[in-house]
Amino acid sequence: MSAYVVEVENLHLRIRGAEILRGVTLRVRRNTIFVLMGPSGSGKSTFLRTLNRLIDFVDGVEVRGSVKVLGQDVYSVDPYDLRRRVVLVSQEPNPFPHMTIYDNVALPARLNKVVRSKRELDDLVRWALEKVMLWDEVKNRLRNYPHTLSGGQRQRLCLARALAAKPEVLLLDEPTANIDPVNTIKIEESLKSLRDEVTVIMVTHMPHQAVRVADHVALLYSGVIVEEGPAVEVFMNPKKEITNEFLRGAL
Amino acid sequence: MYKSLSSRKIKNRIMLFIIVAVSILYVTPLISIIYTAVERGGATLLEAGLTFLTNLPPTPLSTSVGGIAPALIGSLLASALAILISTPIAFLAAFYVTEFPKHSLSRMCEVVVRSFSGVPSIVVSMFIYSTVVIGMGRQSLLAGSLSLSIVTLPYAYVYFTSAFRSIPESLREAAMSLGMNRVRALIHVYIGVLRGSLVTGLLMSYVRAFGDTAPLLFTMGFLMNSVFAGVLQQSNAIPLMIFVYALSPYEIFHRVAWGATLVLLLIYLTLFTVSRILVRGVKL
Repeated sequence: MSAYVVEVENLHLRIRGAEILRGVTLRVRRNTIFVLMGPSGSGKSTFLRTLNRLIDFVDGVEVRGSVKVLGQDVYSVDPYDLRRRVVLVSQEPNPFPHMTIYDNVALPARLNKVVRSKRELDDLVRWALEKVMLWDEVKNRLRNYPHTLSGGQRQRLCLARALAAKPEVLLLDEPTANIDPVNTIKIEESLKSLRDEVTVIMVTHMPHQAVRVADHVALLYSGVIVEEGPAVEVFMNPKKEITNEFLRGAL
Repeated sequence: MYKSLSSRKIKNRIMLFIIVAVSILYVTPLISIIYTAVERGGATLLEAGLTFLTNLPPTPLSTSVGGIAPALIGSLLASALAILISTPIAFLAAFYVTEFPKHSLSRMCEVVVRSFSGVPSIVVSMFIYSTVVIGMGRQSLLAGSLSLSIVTLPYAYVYFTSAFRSIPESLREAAMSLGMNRVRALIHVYIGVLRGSLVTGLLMSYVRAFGDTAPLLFTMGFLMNSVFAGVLQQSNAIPLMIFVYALSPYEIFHRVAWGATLVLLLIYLTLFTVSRILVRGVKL
């Protein structure tokens, strides 16, 4: 088994002729928190959606280069199977409004057949909600609907839903961009506690968030990887001026 | 400055007057229709009571108004059968077209279904007459239902299409992010999210089928001597009965027609109100 869950080589991506990613080369180690930083519009979300082929739903996409996830070229595997193993949590909390809190978390577990009995399902739902520090807040109202939760709680519910699918890679697209600091901290603590169970790839435009959670970081700027390396190294001693500017908030 | 303010107030009042006048002009015929139906149909319903819904129609020389049972049952069954035929097709077509809007089959589907909506319903009736009725050798509830299904198909399609298009992109992405394919997303997410809209579409299509006359003119027959003769036999429908009885020279038939009009109106308003309540209940 390779030590890397993601191996991207010279990835070029165009959307309706506009070049979004320009020769991206990256590798992500198993069971780490990898944070892809960059200012808005640098191509972070597009890159993330290339890893589980959600980008296929965008019109006019042309991809060139090699994208290997979990040892296989993403364009040689069934995209639905890929997305069950490489789950994405979006920036906007998007729980299913017609399902209860319990059912939101239970659905991917049922679909992916990761449990065999009701008991196992209950345990999994509890585990996922505990992982995102939501269990204590919702344990007495699991049959309520998500609209009764706050924005931050809804985002943690989406994270729990993703975890219940038992993915091997968790893709997070600025998961704390629209939520309050308390919920942000809870999500970050959850991510740290997940390190041994799943590989996390998160994109963010906030360097201080990367400082708090990342093991490994990369800076994407205008579709190009400017710098990458272990988080401590990049934050303490950035090699490129652009990285320095980004970390200072000047980009 | 004061002059300008006063001129604006005058303009405002003139516009307000025009809007109110146009609204009254618009609503008056509707109120008049409802009032006449209630006044004349109410008299028939008061005379016959609930037996109006369960009795057979009168003969021209009857003294009692009898009832509209064959037409009521015929309408209920034909409309139900029509939406059983049309709504699954409309649902699947709407799903396909919204999920794959660029596919050539989607474009073809869109053109075909929408062109159906431009066909006069009497032409649909003629078409079913020349194919199904002549083929079967008789008018029937099935032929009437087929005719109604063609008329309701574009109606249901437009309703379902706008329902599918109202699904927020974030929910589509959530479903796809979890590895659902489009069918799984439809079953587990879209139907649940849109259940209010879908039931409303179903009800509105039913209402449309229930009130339509022209598609049934050459297809349904005019059953009077029994409540129900079978799907492959002649049947009747409330709008058809109103049309035929209104044109007849017999006063008793006119009274039955007014009673049937009120029943049709009440059923229509009930279904319409239920569907509006359901629409209000949809929260995305």
